[in-house]
Amino acid sequence: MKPYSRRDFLRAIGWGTLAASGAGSVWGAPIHEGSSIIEAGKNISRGGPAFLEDGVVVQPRREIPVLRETDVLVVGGGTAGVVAALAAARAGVRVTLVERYGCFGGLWTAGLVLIVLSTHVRAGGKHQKMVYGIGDEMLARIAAIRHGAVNYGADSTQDATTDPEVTKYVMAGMLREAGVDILLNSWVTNAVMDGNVIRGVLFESKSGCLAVKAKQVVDATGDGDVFDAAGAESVPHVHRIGLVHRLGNVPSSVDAKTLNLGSVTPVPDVRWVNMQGPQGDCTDIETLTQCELDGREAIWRRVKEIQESAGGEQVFVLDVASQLGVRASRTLAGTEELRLEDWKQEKQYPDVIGVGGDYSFIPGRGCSIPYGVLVPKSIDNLLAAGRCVAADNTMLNYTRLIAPCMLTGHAAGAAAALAVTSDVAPRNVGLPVLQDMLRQQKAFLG
Amino acid sequence: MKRPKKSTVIKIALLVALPLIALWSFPRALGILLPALSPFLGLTSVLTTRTVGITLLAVLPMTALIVWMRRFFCRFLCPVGYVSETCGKISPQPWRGYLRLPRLGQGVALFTLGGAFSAVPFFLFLDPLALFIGAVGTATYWAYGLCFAGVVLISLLFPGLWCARLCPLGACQDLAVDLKDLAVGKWSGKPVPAGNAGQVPRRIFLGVCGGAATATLVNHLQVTGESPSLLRPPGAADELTMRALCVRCGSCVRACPETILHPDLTPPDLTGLLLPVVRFKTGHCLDDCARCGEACPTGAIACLPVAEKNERKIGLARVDQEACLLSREIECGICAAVCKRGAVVEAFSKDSYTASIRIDTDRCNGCGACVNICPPRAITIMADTHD
Repeated sequence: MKPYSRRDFLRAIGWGTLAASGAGSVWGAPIHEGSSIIEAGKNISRGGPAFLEDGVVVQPRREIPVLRETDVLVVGGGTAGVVAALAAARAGVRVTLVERYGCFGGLWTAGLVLIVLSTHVRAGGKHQKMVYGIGDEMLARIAAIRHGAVNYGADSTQDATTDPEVTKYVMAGMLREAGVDILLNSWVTNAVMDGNVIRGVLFESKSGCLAVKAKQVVDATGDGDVFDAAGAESVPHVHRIGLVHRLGNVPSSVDAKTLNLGSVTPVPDVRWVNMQGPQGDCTDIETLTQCELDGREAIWRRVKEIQESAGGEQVFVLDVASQLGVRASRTLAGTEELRLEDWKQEKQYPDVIGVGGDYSFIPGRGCSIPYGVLVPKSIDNLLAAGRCVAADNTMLNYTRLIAPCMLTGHAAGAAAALAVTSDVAPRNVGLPVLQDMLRQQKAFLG
Repeated sequence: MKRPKKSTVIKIALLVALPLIALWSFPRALGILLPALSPFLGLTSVLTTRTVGITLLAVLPMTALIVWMRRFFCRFLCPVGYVSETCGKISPQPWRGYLRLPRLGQGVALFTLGGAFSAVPFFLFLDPLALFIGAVGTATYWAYGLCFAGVVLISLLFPGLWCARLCPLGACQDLAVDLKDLAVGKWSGKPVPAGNAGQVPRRIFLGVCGGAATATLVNHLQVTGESPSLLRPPGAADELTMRALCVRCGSCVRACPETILHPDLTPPDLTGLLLPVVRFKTGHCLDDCARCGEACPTGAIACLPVAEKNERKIGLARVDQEACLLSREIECGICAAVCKRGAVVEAFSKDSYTASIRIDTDRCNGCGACVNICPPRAITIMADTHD
């Protein structure tokens, strides 16, 4: 072992100085891994700490490193975002998908809302399939895996329910096959604007705050975080915030009528249990915290009740959703709005981008969705997809379902790709071209 | 049997057909047109509903005309008169027997007007215009035309009887002219022709008092009582008044764009026959529509501005909690989303950590918007008996 030399001492001082000055630079301090010193975290973009200026917390003005430049940026890796990224990538443009968690599927997987609603139209005892395109392909791939889906298939009269882990796996596989550039654990926090045109987004991550520049952006955040940050008009909503959980070891002998044992999943003896929860503002962090805490407590109270009743002794909590069941928070003020009256009267849209299945409150009738519900009124190069598309307070209960999210995601992805290739704003894309493109990708436009 | 001239038939056909087509196309026009043309109907309506408004103004010109010229309306305007007259011409036997009969119409008219003071205008449905509109109403339900058919039958069997002796509107015109003569006589000091005009004040007094007394009695006896299960259109008069004031013309039923108004064919008692009832099978009461009230010629359904109509309760929503999806932790709550009045609310229980649907009875007006949208049809509108 070498004695501690002057060189070592100077080196230590040097590193120490670097570490201290690291606050002002993007270069971080070295960390110890085992016994050797490596240069890790050198890319943390923190821009130095915030400081107090007359008692006010201030962040220093600085340049944000651009991590990626891409054609289509999809924000949010939930159902709509994944389908949008796939649609855009298959149209031949470069796509980056940014997801805040470590897996894909959003509420469908991490939120444990496992039932795929509105895939069919039930009319006159018939069960007509209405899910087509990429969503259909995804479901087929999920169902092809053992314990991937239940109640799936042409002869099923009930709504398909999928396994969350299988869904995450299939989604990741499809994205990688399509060559989508993926950024996980990256929480998009702000928009990069050039007048009323969006040029990219900022996201927070373990590497600090970074930017992605893009020609077109698809907001599939569910809460419309991107279009809200970009300054697009939106409508706030207060809705129930639930927390779903799964129960394991549920014997079929237990009476599911008196106890809420939820619904079937593809895994034997495992059931998923929905929760309505209290109404609240889903963009308020204190509300969300309260709902997480209260929801978990409520789940354990219920489970205790099940375990204390006959036949339920062996039931256990398999998992609680790692994501709150946020139903609605913000919807886009689009160039068109999905309205209940229009669905009732089976309105035909010239800019239809898909026809979805029916739902409990309008049974037996497919729902046409126009392109305008994805397009913001004033902001350019931005499209919404998923549950934040323009819909009135009744129809948002439809657009938030899995199958309609696939539908709007598919259209948004294709439209964004078309906007890139034809170099126009999304509001000006050629509708016949877009509709042809969607049909080629096997979407159903009525 | 005399064959009527071709020209007469065409004339009658046109005279009947044109107003029918007009009224059929614009059911809203009825609300103003009828009271304007028939002072009997207009005055009774004003007295019964105790609303002094455009109806009263509309009544005045025709009143002036009939005071100025005896039976002006009968001679020039009455469609029922034309029909009755033509029937008389077709009739196999010329009959003058009615001349020996007393003027029953005057009694009917005065009794009805008297009843109107206590909100029960007994024989309002005998107004000839109301009868005529009933014929239009047959387009929605055949029974609306029964009274009109009765007049046609009477006219065929006993020509002249209806117009001269039975029609309350005709009688009103006679009374008005008699009163004028009496007043003019008093004022100018000329002797009044004995036997006729001399009896007018007494007749009026007896008729009106008789009607008012009977109506008051009926009110107190609660003959019909409340019919808790029946839903009436918004702004409808109370049950007892409704039964007398509604002339069963079917205009409201035709005017309803959602076709939720239906003639009551199975009333709890006969006086409620053919009254409009609300059934939420095909839709709900729209919050931008007040057409039933606009179309009602008598004010049995008040003609109200839309905002005020929305405040009138049809009934109250009631939720069957066992059928409600939300109570069973199934995604729903669509009723709360469609209720524009905020009367259907999602109540959250912190103890059970569950949500359920509650009705704010102050806000609910029973419009039924939540009824058909409810997937398990767990909501029914019940008549509001607290009112």
